[in-house]
Amino acid sequence: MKAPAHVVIYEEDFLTRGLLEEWLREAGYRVRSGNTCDAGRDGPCDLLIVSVYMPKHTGPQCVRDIQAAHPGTPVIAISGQFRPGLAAAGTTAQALSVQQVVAKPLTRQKLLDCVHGILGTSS
Amino acid sequence: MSSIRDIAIPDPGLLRFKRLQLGVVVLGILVILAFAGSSANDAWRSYRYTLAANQRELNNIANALAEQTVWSLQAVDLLLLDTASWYRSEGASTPPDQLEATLAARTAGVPQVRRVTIMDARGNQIYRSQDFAGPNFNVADRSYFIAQRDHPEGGMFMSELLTTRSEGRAAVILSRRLDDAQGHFNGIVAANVDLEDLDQLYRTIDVGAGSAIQLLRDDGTLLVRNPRLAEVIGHPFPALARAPQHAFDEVLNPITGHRDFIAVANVRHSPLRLAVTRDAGIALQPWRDETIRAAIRTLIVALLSALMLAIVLRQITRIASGQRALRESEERYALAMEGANEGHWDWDAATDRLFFSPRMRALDGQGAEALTSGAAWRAGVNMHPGDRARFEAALRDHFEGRRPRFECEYRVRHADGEWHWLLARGRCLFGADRKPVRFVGSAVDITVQKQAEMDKDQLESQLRQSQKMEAIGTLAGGIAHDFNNVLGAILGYGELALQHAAEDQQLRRYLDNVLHAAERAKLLVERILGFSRSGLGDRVLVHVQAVVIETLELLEPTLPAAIRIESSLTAGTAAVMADPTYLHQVTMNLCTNGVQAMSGGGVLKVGLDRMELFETRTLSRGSLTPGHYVRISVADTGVGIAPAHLERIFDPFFTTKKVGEGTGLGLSLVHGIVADLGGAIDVRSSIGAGTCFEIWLPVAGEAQIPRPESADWLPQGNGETLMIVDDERPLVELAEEIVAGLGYEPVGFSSSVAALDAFRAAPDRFAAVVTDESMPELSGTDMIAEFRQLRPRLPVILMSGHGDARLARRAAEVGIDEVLRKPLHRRDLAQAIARVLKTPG
Repeated sequence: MKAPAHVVIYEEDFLTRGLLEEWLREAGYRVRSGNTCDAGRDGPCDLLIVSVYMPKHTGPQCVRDIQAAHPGTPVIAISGQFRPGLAAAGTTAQALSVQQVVAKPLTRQKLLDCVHGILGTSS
Repeated sequence: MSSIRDIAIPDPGLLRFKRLQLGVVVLGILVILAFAGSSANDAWRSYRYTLAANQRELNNIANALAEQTVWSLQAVDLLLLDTASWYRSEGASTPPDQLEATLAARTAGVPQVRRVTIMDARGNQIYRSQDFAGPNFNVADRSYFIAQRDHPEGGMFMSELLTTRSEGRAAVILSRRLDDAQGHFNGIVAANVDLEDLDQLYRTIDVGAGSAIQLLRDDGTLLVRNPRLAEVIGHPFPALARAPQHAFDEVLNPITGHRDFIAVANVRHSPLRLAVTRDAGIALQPWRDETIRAAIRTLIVALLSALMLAIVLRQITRIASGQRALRESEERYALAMEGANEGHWDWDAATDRLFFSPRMRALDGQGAEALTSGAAWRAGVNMHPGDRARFEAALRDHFEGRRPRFECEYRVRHADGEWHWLLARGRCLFGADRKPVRFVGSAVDITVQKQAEMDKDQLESQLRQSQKMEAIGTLAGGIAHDFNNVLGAILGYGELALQHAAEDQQLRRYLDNVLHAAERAKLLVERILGFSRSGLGDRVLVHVQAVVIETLELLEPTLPAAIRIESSLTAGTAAVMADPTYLHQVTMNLCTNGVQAMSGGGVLKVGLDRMELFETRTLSRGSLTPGHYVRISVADTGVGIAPAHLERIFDPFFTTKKVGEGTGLGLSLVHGIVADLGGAIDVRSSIGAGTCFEIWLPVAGEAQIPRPESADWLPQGNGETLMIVDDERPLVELAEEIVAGLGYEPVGFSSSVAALDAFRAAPDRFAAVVTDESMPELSGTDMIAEFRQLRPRLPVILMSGHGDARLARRAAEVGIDEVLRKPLHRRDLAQAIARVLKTPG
């Protein structure tokens, strides 16, 4: 069995970050937190989970900055301002140039489905 | 533009003026000519009269003097006859001394006779009445002696003018024959009439200036002239001795060289003529003076007439030019009025007479009949009730002197039913007693400006609204973001807590409620995100008509009996770029709103059509650029919205419903979604008549795939009895209605315990069970587990507001046939029921 995938979480809200870390660790991933101001410091990883604030305004730029620091790394964008019911890889994901989008509030099942989908793992 | 054409045609006033001018000139000239003619006639008549008068006067003088001369000569003749008679009878006997004395005595009585001389038959003077030193001359060669000697019956003879031999004076000698007893010639008696003495006869007669009296012999020899002119006496002037041919003949007087009037009279029994002459120039002088005076008078009158004529002409010109100026001024005024599109009025206070210009009548809109009085206008004007008081106040303010001018904007309704805004401005002229005398002013239609003003106001209000909505949206977006984080934490940790508290029933229940509440909060945040434009969602081409049909299908079964839907959907395959869920929400919210406004029943009209705009249009909310649009209209016949509320209906959390009945987010959600899609909303409402919402969305293309299944066909039931369980009563009712509409027999329960009791009482009564999961006493899955103990193959449909893995596992454990997500859709429910009933129960 290969080494567990490495997930970096860019999330300002510590409660959400904590929850994500707990879910992902429980699912067997290695998790660490990224700093938006100093993205990419800790080297390469397998997946980024990025929280987007104001996805219509400054959000996309923020996502691009983080993507630039992790070239080629797939991204799951999460936001409290995605409208519910949007498809994980629909037009919104395309607009943000990310692999998947998940609306907050997050549910464990949905998030893990997305992570598994991208990393090709299963719980 | 009739007034402009009037200027071009020849002016009848100008023609009349020209004719008047010509008439005055002709009349003036005629008057002057008549006056001059009359004066000339007078002068002519006066000339004739003067001639006649002169002639008459001269004739009279001539005749009178001739007569006097006759008498004078007769006196001389008498003296001669008497002397001759005396000498015949007594001469011989009388001594020569006495004889001469007697002669002298006789001669003294006849002053014109200088002396009487007696000559003998040989012509020797023998006796003389006047003795003077000198010889007695012989006069036998003299004509007066020869005539008497040779003609015994010749009578008195008058000699030509001759110079006496005795004294050498000019004289005329008159003679008579002296006969002896036998009748033989015995000499003559001669009277010497000295011209000096003859002159005395006429000296005293004044015949006037330029006039002269001439005594001539018939051969023209001038004997006497008065006034005296010694050098011409004795010269012949035959022209003066000839009697004139015509009454008024003039003669060139050879004495003076002037042209004279002349009258000639014969002195009877003598060769003498008496001619009276008068210088024509002097005779006519009074006439000439008079004529000159008359001419001057005529000239003065003519000049005065000409002057008056000129003054009259000038006055006429001035009046005409004044009239022209007045007319031009009037025309200019009328053109200006027309140019400004203004009408004007003129009201006379004393008579209440009212003048309205044609434009004013058109503006006033009272129809074609002419208004003649202020009272009639007041009675007929269709002024907006809201403006009447303001109008009257403005009028009073001006009439009572509080405002210098009258100015008022008011609305009148024209015959075609249109309201027109008028701006009337005027000024009243006041009498000495400060009472209105005359009120004049003008009015102009300002409907367009007013409309523009209102449009501007509306635009500004829209701008404010959209700024407000954007601010609220931004705020809501921020709130949603944070709330979702918070909710995510509650839900996530709550779930983890639930996993770790599996044994303790009480704790699980608490945690369930926490999660349940968090789910509701999540729904609320979703709604808030809906109207906040900062939310980001998927966009695909959505077939609008399909969405509207689906909405109506969902709505129809839930409607009260008193409400009917009329739909007219003609948009074809028009599609907009949108999130179908949200578009669905827009139509659903509008329809729900309409239905709620019609608590007493009514008609909900739902329309869908395509529109094309060729110019920018501003609606109640938002503006549209030209292009293709699809228009969704939802109109109710309900209570309507008060104008004060109309402004705020799209504000979040604004609701006129009772607390708990509405969230106040429905229309703000609609607004947020429509604005996000680049559309606009139009709202029209009137109290008591209903409200109409129109949603305009830009057409993004045509729907590629029509709906695979028929829109109006759903699997139908056959009277099967279905148990429906939900702790929320309205949801039970909703489900009951949907199920009944599909042809099933619903039996609803709002308590899972009551449902369990009913099922235990008659387990085979129900063909299937539709139940909610989250219920306070007994959860849906727990209740189903109880049911399955009595009927293991009972078809079950579970509804859940929040599906998660735990629920899915639990459902699988209990053997739930179908799990449906809330909110409940009619189509999903119908298909689920049809599926579970197909499996043998």
